[in-house]
Amino acid sequence: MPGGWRGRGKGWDRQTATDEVLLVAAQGGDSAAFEMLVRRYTQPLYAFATRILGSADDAADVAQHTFIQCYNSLPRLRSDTPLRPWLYRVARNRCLDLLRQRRTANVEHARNDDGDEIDSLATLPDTGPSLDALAERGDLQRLIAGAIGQLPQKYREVVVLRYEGELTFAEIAETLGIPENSAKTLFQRAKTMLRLALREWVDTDV
Amino acid sequence: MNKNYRSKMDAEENDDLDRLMMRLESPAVPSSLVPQILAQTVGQSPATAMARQRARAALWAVYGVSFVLVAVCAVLFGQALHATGTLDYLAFAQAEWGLVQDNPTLFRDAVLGQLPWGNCAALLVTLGGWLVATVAVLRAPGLPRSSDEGGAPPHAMPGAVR
Repeated sequence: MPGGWRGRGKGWDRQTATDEVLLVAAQGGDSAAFEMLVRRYTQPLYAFATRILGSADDAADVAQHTFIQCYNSLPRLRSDTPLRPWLYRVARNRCLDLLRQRRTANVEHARNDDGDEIDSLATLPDTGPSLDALAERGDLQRLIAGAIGQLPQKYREVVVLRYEGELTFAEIAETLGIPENSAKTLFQRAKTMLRLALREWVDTDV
Repeated sequence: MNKNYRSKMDAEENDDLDRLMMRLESPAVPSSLVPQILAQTVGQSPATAMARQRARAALWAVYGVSFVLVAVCAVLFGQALHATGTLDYLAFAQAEWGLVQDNPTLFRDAVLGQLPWGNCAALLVTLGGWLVATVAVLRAPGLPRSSDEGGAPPHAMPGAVR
C-alpha cells in the first residue's frame, strides 16, 4: 500500500496521498480522506458534466450524485479500485440519464449517430480575428467549447475525458466500457472533427 | 485546463490542436457545491445515516414480503382453478377452440361462474402491492440504480468485491 497510511498518525498528509490510500482510509471511516477525494475530483467531474450536458445546474447534480454514489459504495469498493475511471463512469451514467430525460426537449444533446456531424461542424465560422484577439475577448473559450459541444456524444465524451479529465486511453476505455484501441480511434476521429471545426485557428496561430 | 496536459500521461508530442485545447479553461465550480456534497456524505449525522439505512432496509423488507405474497397467492390461485374445475374449461377451450367460438357467451358464463374470485382478487391485490413496493425501492434516495453501474449488476461493477 503506497504510503502505508495505517502506520501514520493523525497528521498524515492527505493532500499528497494517492487515491487508493484515500479510498482505503475513507473505507476505514476517515471522513477527512473522503473529503479530500471530494475536493480533488469535484472540479474535473463538474467540468466533464458541464461539457457533456451544457448546463451548470445539471453538472452540479451529476457531481453530487457521483459522490453520494461513491460514499454509499465505499463498503463494496475494492481497495485497489482505480477510482478516477470509476468516478467518471458513474458521472457519465448520470449524464446519460439526464440526457435521456431531456431528449424530447433537446434532441441535439442526445444525438448519438455520426451522420452529418462533420457537415454541422463545418458550419462554424472559418474566418475571423486572430487567436489572440479571440482570447482577449473571451470568444476563444466559447469557440472551443462550442466545437466540443457540437461533437456527437460519444466523441464528445472521449475528447472531454482526454483533454479536460486528462485520462489515459486505458482509463477512458475503462470509463466508457470499450477497448482501449476503440478509445484511441474515437479520439482520433474526434480530433479530425475538431480540427475541421477549428481549422482557421489550428493551422495558423497555434 | 491543465497546461501540463499529457506531460503526465502518454509520452506523445502535442500537436496544434492539442495546444489549442490547452487554452480551454475549465468551468468554475460553484462555491456551494463542495459543501453541499460534503453535507450529503460525510456531513450526515450518524442518526440521519442510520435512519436512512433503516428506511432502505424496511423498503427492501416490504418488497420481499410482497414478492412472497404474490408467489403464495399465485400458487393458491392455480390450485383454486384446478379445484373449481375452471382449469378444465380452459383446457377444453384450448382443445376445442372452434366450439368456444361458436358459443362464446356460454363459455364465458361457465368460466366466470366457476372462477375462484377470492383467490383472483387476492392475487391482483398482492400484485399491485408488489408493484408499488418495487417502484418505492427503485426510487428510494441513495440507492444505486442500474444505470449508475452501466446496467451491470453490482458484482460486475469495476472494483466491486467479488
